[in-house]
Amino acid sequence: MKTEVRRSAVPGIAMLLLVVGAVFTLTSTEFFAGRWTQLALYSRGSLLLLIPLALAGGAWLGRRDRRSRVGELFATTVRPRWQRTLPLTVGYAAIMVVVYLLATAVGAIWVAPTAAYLSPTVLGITAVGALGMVAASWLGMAAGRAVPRIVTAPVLAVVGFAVVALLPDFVSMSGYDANFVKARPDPSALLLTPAFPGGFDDLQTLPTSVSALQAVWLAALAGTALLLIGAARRSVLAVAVLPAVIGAAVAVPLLPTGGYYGAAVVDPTAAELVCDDDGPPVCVRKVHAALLPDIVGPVREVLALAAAKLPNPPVRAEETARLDAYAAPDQPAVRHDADTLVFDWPGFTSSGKPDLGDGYFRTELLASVWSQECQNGGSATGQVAFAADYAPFQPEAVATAWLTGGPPQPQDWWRPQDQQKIEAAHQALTALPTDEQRQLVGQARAAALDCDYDRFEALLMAGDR
Amino acid sequence: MRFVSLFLRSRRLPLAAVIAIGAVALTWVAWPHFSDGQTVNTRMISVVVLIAAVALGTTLSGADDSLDHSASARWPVRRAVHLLLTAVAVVALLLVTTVTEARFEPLDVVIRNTAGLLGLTALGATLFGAALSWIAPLTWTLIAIMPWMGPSEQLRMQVGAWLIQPAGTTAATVCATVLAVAGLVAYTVRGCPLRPAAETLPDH
Repeated sequence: MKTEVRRSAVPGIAMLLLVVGAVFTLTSTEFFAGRWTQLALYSRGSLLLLIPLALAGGAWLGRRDRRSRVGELFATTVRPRWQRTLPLTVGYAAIMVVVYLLATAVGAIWVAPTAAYLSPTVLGITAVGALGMVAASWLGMAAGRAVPRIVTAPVLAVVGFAVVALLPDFVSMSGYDANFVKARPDPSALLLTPAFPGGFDDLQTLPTSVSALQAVWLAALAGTALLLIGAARRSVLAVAVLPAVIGAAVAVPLLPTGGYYGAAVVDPTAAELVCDDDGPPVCVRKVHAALLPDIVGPVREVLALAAAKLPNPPVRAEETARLDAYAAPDQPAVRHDADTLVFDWPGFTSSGKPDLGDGYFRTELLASVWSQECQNGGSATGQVAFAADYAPFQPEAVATAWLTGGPPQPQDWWRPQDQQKIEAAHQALTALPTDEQRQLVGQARAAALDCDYDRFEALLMAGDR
Repeated sequence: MRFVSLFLRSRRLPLAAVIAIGAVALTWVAWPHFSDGQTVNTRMISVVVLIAAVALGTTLSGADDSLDHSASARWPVRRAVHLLLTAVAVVALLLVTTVTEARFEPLDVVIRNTAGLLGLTALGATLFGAALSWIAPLTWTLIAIMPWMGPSEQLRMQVGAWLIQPAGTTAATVCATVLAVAGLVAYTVRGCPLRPAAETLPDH
């Protein structure tokens, strides 16, 4: 097997795929830095590139006998075809698995230093990706044997790309009606492709049961391809499609509907709270726990501001459990108490640190003083739920300016009349006696946390009339 | 005429032409069913041009490489004419569709992508032989049509995804021109590398 692999096109194919896969991993490290589950899922996205290339490589290897014109010669020997083809077949698939794992391992450099939680589901997600590479390699070799032309390889790669990338998109888009509301959930067959270029929320994962079903289907598909490569008799070739059909027949009814997002579940361990009690408690989800020390400072700063000026201020802060809207459209709103500041994770930089640059996180923290989850998100109602519903921006800007003790910070998307209104309201508010200011903003915050945004606006914007 | 037909047959043009025309025809027939627009989008144009370029790329050498280097003929001229006429043929094929319902437009993008991809194919043929000339154009096209690539202000993206940038993007045009010129010059001057005749089959 070693000789077969070394003295064939395999090293060249492997080098090409390794370079492409590693460059893909390195281009967007912020998507997975510090999170093992996200790295495993990101690698599944790289399959969109690696599967077509593995198919092309397989097709190139598969036409080797024909290229060397040894078909008739080998047909005269007693040794069965499968015995002769097995070393290269197994060797190529093994090398493709190694390439996939190495391309993933490159990303581990950005994950390992700042990761706090390794979910057991990562194993299944990665294993399915590796099995996808095996199935693609063998299908490519089978195609190369069936149509031993030069153009088979590139054309097969394009067809492979169409099947793993364009077809699922097309099926998913056809589920929307004329008003772009989802009329029909994605079929479970979308989970048959191992390539998934989307991404989940940090708290989500793909359960091992789903990975197991995907593995069953991909193993069956690989079995079909193996029969197509190794079989010499026409009767065997005729039944070669059976394993794939049986695999699909088993997997499709058992897989959840809704495609990958329908299959995603919240990982309860990843969502556990980890707190820093060295002062006012600041809690983040376990998946982000290693970076807690980096964000404690800015969060405590806002908590201190609130404690100094607000009546009934928040005394603790915790990261929201709400998932990103794109990853989970159906989520009930969960109200939190006035004594808790619920904030969004600031996101990651490409080096795996929390994204605290430009004061964006501080702005978000100040906004979350007045924010509450008010609306249930749901694809049925056509409403999109955001990680937190923010209060109307005009009174919020007034309240935030009052809290920080400076003039309102104009945002570049404000219209001139917005700015005038906000400044007038802020001046009217600060002209009141200090006690009254405190009382008024306290009432406004209580209204906002009750989701009574009309009252929130009426209390704070009264001054501009 | 006799020379031309014999030359083209020796380069296995019929099969390549069938594949190139087939790819265009298939897209042309299928496009109205998958889209509301009449203009085939840039990604699909790139894929169709890629298939045409790799199919015609196999015609860049004949059955025996040493025959293509014999001193009795002016091979550089033949190679340059071959490559240039191939580019014209692909553009002309796509131009025909502009009088119908599903069109390969705009012309700038069609010309840019054809020139760039054929240049890259010729460059590959010069370096690795015609049989392996498809690797570079295939890899670059696959990268460029990934869902997260798109028109962008960033130079990195404009070069990496030059195939799907809108017409008039300077970096993309420059990239395609460089590939086209490099491929044309390299293939004209050097031609395909000499390989033993056994590696090339009359019917591939």
